Amino acid sequence: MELNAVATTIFLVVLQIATFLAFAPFLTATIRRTKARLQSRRGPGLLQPYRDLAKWWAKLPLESNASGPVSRYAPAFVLAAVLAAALLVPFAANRAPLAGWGDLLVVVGLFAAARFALALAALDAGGAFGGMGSSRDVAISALAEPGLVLALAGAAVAANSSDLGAISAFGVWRGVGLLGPAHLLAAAAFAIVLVAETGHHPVDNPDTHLELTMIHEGMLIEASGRSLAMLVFASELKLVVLAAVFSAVFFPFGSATEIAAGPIAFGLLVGFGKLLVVGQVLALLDGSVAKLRLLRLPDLLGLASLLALTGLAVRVLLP
Amino acid sequence: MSDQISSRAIREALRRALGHAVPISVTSSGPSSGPSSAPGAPSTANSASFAPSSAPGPAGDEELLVNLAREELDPAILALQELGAQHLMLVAFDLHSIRRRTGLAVEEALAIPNGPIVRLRVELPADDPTYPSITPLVPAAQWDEREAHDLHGVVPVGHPDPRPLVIHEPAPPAAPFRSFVAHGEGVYQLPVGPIHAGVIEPGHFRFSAVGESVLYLDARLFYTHRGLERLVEGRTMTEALPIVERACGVCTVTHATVYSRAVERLTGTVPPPRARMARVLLAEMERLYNHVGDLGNICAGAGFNFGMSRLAWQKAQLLRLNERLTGHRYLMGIVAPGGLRFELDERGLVGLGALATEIEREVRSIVRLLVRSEGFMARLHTTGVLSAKEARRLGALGVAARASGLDQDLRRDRPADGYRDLQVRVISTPAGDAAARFHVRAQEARVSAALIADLAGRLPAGPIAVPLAVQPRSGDVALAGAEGPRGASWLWLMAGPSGRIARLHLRSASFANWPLVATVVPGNIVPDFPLINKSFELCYACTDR
Repeated sequence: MELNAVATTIFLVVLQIATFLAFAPFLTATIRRTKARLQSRRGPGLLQPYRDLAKWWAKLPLESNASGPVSRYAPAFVLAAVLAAALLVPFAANRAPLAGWGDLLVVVGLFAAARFALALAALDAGGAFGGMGSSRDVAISALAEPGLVLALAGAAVAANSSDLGAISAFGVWRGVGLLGPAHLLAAAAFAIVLVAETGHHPVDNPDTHLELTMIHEGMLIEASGRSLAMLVFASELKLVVLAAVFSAVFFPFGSATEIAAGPIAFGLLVGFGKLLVVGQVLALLDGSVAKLRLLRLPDLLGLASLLALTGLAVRVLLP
Repeated sequence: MSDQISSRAIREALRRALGHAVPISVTSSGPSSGPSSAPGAPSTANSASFAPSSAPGPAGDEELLVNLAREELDPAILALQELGAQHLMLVAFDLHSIRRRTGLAVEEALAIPNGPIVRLRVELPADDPTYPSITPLVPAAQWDEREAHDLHGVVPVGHPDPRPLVIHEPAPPAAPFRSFVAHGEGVYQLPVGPIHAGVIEPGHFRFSAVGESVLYLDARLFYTHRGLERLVEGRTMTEALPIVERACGVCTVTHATVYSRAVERLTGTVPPPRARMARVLLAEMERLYNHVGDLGNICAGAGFNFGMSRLAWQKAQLLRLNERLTGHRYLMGIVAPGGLRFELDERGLVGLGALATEIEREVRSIVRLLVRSEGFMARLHTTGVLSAKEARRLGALGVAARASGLDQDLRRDRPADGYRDLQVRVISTPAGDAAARFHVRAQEARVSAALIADLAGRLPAGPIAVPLAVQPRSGDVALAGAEGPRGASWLWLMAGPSGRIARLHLRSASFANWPLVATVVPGNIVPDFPLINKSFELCYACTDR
């Protein structure tokens, strides 16, 4: 029995890592594809993000002479932190591969750790854009974090657990009854945070060449070669993980309730379908909304916090 | 025009200011015999409006050359400023190229509204090429004087910002970048460029900022300085054209036209009616594709992919029209001294008006959608405000000036070629922000499309060029301007021995407008700079030359 549980965990971990790693660049590719179509362009092929990663991975990073060990090791740390978070999120089934190793707060914490390392690395390289990107990214995440935590807290209160697998299982058990007003408010809040955290319009432009407007890209501007590959891969993976959290907590329907080949396969299919939908919505935003003026971003993220707080209040006061 | 200012009034004003009569030589455009010298001009011109305009415009085409001593420069400028004089350019040149003796000269060219152009010339000995800086009186001349100092070694004494402009290295030893940055608690410097993340022209922008707020911006350009003005010296008027035309890639008609007009003034040539009207057509084609592209660039600056891609598409359509009409997407090689180098393509001309109108209609519907997008317009409103006062002080030109409430357009104010027979509606709005520049461009595109539609079907028949009438005398100077997509470009041309070029100076509209960008940005936030920059959309190449 004990052996069986270990085998299940190993199976889920391998499955999750393999599918996420393989899928993350593809999700980015589909977003780019749709964006290109919205601009009447053909756009790059769906394999382009894989090719980019392979190209960068084969190159040694070029380091500015101002940079030290931080920018050398931070990319690996960032990727590792996001990967670790990925294993704490239920995807195909109603249990995270490493269930019991950490709850939603650990996931949030791992993202914060990744951001911290990336911000340090960007500062370490000594370029002006890195520092500018870091300061903006940290400011935005500081504003986004309350919304993120409060939105998840609402779901946790409903499920009476902070474990993402338990929250997901609770959602599946409740079925359509889950979609009450409190739940939808929290989902809206999380959606705004998702946009901000993954750097899409109207918060950030992932494909800009205008250095002065960059947020996330600004932090990557001094990275190159293998370091760049890891950082880009981490941000692609982060989108997958955040979207997976979103679907596990707010729309968990379709994920497997037992660990068996059939339901797991079905859960995987449904999961990727949901991720693709999230990606398409982001692409639509990129194509159809102008970027907000930077100093108006607090309004947007404040709205996210407000929505999440309202959702939580509704849930506590009107159970 | 009752309030014409005659050369007599200017002579009188200068005499009063300087306390003695100054020698003034007057030149006017066109041969003294009038435009009838154009051979083969058909007497059966299509309509009344195409009859060759009766001779050069009354006073507007006159050029007065005033020779002054150094210390007379300031009082003369003050006297002319009372008549409303506007700075056109300051040009320095070496007297050696026209006379057998050493020495330098600077010329400040000013335009008197409803009056002639006045060139104040001061000759300077080679061993003491100093003169009192005019920038304190004419702030718009700040970059002109710095450039003249860098390239010719004339020294404007008392210039408020005597740092090098064109020559970057080596920096002068003492306080090389004084006033380059701001200082204070929490102020950091943000260097951007000259190499950018995108494929764009090189410029170095040094921001002094606190957090996201810009305190000070210094723009350092001239990374694409190719020495074009030096390159044309000693060449024939024909040889120089392709070089001048390539000062930049998107103002080719404007620059070829100012050059051609200057040569025509020097040689007393009047291009035939068909060429004069075709130049208007080409100039409006250039304006239209630039304005449409620039509207799209403003969208890019605001991060609005929808508008960017749609307008880029429309611009591409316009470039195709250009190609069908002239064989060149950027209209190169057609405008030449004496008229046109070759006939417009008949297939390109057929339906040109309808096609241009259709594209403009499409642009208008895109612009309507953009204006309805609250998020997009919120980015543009109150961003990068240029006040009318500042615009006037620094000599803003073109869209930048008209979006700040200045009602000026060379096409109407000093019409040349076919514009003399046309009424051009000048768009002006007072707000001065990026949104105003957006709207002015959108409406000017409409005016241009209407002009194209009007002209394409009724270009006068006849020859497209005449040979240059006479060979200019060594030392003769002509000044010509044209309203391009970015404002009025002016070209100063001095003939040397045997009809070759002794000195040419191109003061592009971008050159005059760049200092504005730097003054407008402080007070805005760093990530709005690309948007502000694109709302001015100035060229680097024709600034740097």
